[in-house]
Amino acid sequence: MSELLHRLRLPLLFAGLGVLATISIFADRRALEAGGRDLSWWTGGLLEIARPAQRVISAPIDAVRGVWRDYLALLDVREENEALRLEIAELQEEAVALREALVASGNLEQVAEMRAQLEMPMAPAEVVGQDVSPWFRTVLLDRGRADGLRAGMPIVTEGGVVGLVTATTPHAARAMLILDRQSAVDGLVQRSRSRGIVRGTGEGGLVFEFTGPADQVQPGDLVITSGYGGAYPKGIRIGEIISVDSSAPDLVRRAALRPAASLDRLERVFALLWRSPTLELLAPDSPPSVGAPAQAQAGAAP
Amino acid sequence: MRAAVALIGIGAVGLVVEGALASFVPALLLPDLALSFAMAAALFLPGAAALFSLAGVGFASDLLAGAPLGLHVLSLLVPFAIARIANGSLELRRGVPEAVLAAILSPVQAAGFILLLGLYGAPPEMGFWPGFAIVVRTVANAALAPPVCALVEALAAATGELDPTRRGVAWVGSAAWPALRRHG
Repeated sequence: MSELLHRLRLPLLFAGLGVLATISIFADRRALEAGGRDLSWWTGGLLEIARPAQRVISAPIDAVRGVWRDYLALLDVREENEALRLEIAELQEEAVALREALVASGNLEQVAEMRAQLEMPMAPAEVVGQDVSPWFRTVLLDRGRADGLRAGMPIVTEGGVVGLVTATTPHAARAMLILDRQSAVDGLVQRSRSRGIVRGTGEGGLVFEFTGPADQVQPGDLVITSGYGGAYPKGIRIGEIISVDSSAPDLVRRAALRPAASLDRLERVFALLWRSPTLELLAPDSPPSVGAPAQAQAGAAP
Repeated sequence: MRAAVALIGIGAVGLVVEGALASFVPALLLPDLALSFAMAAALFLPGAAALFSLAGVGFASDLLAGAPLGLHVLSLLVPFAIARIANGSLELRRGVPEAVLAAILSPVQAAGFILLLGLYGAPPEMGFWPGFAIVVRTVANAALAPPVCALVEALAAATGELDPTRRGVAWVGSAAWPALRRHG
């Protein structure tokens, strides 16, 4: 019998590893649906090591890239300066006009209130590494639980939504970009208030899926987070519609979206130190979120 | 097992370096280190140690890629089995055969990965981009396979754990049959 077991050892180990991996995948899936997870020391150890190592490796390349970028920037800084002065003057005129319009419509107070609701603590973080697989779109951040980051917290830049923290260690975090196929953000067309889901294509683009008349969504429309879905606060820019597939016979229409944030060259991002009440309910053991706004918001993995 | 542990360590370091480079180089131009290490382990290490290496490098790859933990491991099992069985009857421990084997295993693993992603609920849309990515990665993997195999062979030889080559094809059934017959 022992000889039989010895002979079957490799096939049994092979099958055992397959079963272990399958169980692990489903456990991970459940954790992602609950907004991600805080990694234990033995699973997060590699990310802890990777964070400083990747920063050291990236530093010289970043330095060369920075010098080159600064040099190029200097070449046309004068022209850009003039253009910016003109732009500022135009924007100031526009701001005055908009303020007048808001006062006239009595909405100024509501807008100020909404801004106050959205103001929440943020933690700056550096992107120190990206995933090497073409099938996933994630980044490694140099901030972790020690800095207040928790799984399920939104990541943004000044441009707009970047993604969601999916795993954390004491000093590092893994964030899934909205470009990832697993990402789904509840979005709202700012002009028409048409709602839909923004999904990542996994290939660097976004798709806005919506129902209703095709003319509710037009190229150039800005899509923002809607506030539903349980992951993102309301009113953060997701992207701009670049084309609408109006010929689709399905009930669900699709429009291509250009991300508002520059997701292909991410360097510095901000983690909103906030988790929606939905995620807090799904992860009751984790510390309470800070700066929770009155309105909970959008987007989650399907 | 010393060779397997060392292999996992080297693989993890390689994945970390690759992760840093991915900030500057498109991901599809970077080879799949996990596949190369799993294939090399299948060719040069004894069965259990090779599987242990596959598990370690696969889980490390998942962790650094942000993939569901276990996805790389599962997708590497079939290429591992193919490499193991092929190594039983073919002389693969040379540069060109190793590169050819990697070129064969690369799309096999990609197909498995796409299938698993579909089962997982995030299937990639098949079109030009995924096809292009698979072709480019196949070339990159083929180029990387010989140096990784040389490294693993040196490691296995140094620890005295080099698996004997060309063992002859041993299927599960044929392996178990003599023992079963003896036990009546």
